[in-house]
Amino acid sequence: MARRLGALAVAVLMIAGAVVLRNHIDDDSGSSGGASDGGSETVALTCATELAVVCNALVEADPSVRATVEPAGVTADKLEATSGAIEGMDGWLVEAPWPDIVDGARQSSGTPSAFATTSDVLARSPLVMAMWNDRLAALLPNCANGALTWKCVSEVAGEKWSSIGGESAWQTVKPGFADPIDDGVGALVLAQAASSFLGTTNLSRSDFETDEFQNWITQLAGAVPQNPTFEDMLAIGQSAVDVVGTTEAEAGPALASSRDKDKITITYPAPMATADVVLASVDGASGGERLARIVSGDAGRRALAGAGWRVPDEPAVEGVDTSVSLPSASGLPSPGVIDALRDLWKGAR
Amino acid sequence: MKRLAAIVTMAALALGATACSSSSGSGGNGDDLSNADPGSCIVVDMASSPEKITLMTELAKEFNGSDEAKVGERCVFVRPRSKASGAGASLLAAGWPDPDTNGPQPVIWSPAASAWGAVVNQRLIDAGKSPITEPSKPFMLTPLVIAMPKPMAEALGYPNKPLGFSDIIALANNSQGWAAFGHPEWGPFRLGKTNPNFSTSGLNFTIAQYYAATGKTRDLTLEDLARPDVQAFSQAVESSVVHYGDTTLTFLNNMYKADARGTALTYASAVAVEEKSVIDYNTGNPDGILDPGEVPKPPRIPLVSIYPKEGTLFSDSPLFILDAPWVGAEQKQGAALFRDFVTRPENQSKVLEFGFRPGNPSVAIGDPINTANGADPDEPQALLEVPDPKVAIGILDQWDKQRKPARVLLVIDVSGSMGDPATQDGFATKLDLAKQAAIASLGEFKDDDEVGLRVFSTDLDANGATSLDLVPIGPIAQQRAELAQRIDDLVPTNGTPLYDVTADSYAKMLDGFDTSRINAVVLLTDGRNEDDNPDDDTDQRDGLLAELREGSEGQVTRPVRIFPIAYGADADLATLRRVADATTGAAYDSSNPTAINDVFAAVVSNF
Repeated sequence: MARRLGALAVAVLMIAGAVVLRNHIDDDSGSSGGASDGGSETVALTCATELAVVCNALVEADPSVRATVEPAGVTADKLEATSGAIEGMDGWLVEAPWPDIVDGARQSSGTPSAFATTSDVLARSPLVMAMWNDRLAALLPNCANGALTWKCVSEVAGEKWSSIGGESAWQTVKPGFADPIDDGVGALVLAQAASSFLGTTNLSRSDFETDEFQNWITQLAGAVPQNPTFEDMLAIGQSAVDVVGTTEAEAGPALASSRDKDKITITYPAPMATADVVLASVDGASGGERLARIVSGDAGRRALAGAGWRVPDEPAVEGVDTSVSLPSASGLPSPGVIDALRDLWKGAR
Repeated sequence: MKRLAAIVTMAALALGATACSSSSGSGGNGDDLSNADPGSCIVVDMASSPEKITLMTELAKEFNGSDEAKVGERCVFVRPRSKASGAGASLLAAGWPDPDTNGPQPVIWSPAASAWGAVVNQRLIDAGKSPITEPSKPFMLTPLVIAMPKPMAEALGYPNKPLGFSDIIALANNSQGWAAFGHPEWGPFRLGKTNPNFSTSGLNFTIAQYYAATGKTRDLTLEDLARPDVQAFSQAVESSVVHYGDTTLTFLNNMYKADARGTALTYASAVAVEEKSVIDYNTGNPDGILDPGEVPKPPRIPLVSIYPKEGTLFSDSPLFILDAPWVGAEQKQGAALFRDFVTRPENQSKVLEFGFRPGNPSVAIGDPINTANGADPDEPQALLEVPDPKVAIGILDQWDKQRKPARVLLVIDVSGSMGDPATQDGFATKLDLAKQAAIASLGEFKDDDEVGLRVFSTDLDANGATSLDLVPIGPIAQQRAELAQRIDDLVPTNGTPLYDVTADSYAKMLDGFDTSRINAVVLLTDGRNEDDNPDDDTDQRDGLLAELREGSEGQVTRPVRIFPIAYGADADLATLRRVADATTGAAYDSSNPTAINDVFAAVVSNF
């Protein structure tokens, strides 16, 4: 299948590398001063794209932090391809289990772990589905128990809406999520969808070898439109995408301030899965420990909470529904399974 | 024009054309700011598509004067400059050469749609270079719609029946035309679409046309384009085209003027434009510009926006911060600050005033995007996918082969004043520059276009002829070299029998009218009517205009469109505009003789 224009542009960018949002480049002695943890050496933080707001807030709070924002898949590729430390990278702020995905790949090639430590979970956000109300009303009668799930959506993905009770003007059923190959959350949503389809999170690679699963992922990949993200949904409107999988952290606050807040419903598909933010300190990097202190400190907690993530003892921003409680674990398959799904997706697209 | 390189050249030539076209307002201009002194600030030059240059200039002024325009201790100065999207794409693919002529190399590029960014990247990748644009959030949005006069849309079932490209194209292919819908008085179906090498809406409609031909809404392939049925389908659509051109504003201006005369329904049946343009038209502002003191007057027959049932494409006005060799780190930071600034809610609300949808979803879509103005904020319901860049380029290549052929008479003024210097300090005469431009334009015609050459002045032979046909109208493939040679041989002579020659050239084209072609006269002149009898000039002019109008109105008309070029400061632009209006053509202003290359390219984009 020909790569589409938007996808090409995104891919090109991602290959092109990092976008430095704020570049506090100091001389060798480092010291722009003002570090909240009392230190002054510059520390280099790489953030997954969807955590850019968090990174910006950290830089604002502590000028000794130099932040680079890039897709998780791009960082993962770099880490997998390097045997030593990556210059200019002390730590990686990303959703679990991306560091484990990297280490899994390194392990298979006989390379030791890229990380000295990986922090405890710093913040969490449930994976949600955001859907236009009129489409949701048309779809739910097709769903088991009248509940929106990825299984329900994916089984009709790409079909004409008119064949399942929707309007012909809506054309085909278009589910969307960020590119699982490169996006930190996109990979998790795909894993959630696969778990929903197969009915368990206890998956192995062999589960993906059946014709049924291959057909499923091909159908889903073929139905995801060119503008598949929640951001597209809000900016372009109903024509872009029918239902989007993302985090509550992205969807909740953005929808709360959106012109379409009364037209879109956010649901928490069962069984619930969560995106959990961690900081992986790069092995051999000098600033890893100090960076960990900064990120897990007050500034980091406030930055994460301010960006819509759930952080214990921090107030939630508007749009985060704290009445919905979180499971104790992420509810996602193993890192190796998620990585395998990314590979499958690459082929299916 | 058959190859990509030619497309690039043609689009690059168009960079000044839009601003030169008398019927194609550019949406204001950014000259005030683009020439402003930035002092010691970090300069962020910006190339903006014309439809938003007024807004961008306003926002840049506000930003430049604010405390936020700072990178460290240095101030930032954003300088927007108008640049048509296709022209900008071509320049960037070529490394943005010759800043003296093309304007400064931009730090920010904001074409009308993201698709142009992908095209640039693809062209660079094809040339073994690195891409320079990254995905960008939309600054503002407007969907491509099919604009139709309301009675015509209603005849097709609007608003109760969903309509789309397939309905329009079926009508275009129906030999009965509007008679098939009970309205023989409206004549054949006439489609207005712009040249996709120049215009975003032209590009988007052409993409949609190929989707309609294949029945797809995504994943268009090069193999699809090569299918005989798809090619036949597209050729049929092109055959219904009125003429092309560099901007949709030509169509809207002509339709507005036709509406004033009560003949809107026989000018064009449907025009591929952006929603924003429908709003402008219906509010009495067809070119999107209100001059000081101008009171907008809504048309008698409004347009309605058909949001195609198959889906449509958006123009999303990205702000690309270029990853180009000429862009420094501080400039990128300054550009990022400006991009954040323009997407703030208080600034996004301003895009509504211009008929666009805010890119920031926290800003509600409101007036003037409403049904009273022919728009529906709840539409569209489906999108067509922007094809892979290679397919997009394939579509442009196919279009070059399938576009409606033209039958054109080039009529060139060789009066004595054409021998005047083109510039104060130059050797070249006005005729020298005109000859160069005319010869260059010959390469833009496709091989089965028919082109002839006529010159005019007084006393051209012993019998006092006012015009000479130097090359008869014929297939340009067989006489391109001869045309070039005869143009090159031209010398200035005597007076300017403008009215006589215009009438005679029009009559000549009418005599040989070919329904399968765009029939047109390109009339280049540098003066006013100047024959042996000045006393009858007014009568002559009025008679000419009446004759032209009579031949151009009504359902059985055989439209021969005149595209005058007012060349040099002494040309009678006002009368030439009236001549163009009378034939629903368009007049082009090349009062600066050095702009004639760009203007000629814009004129030829109509074919």
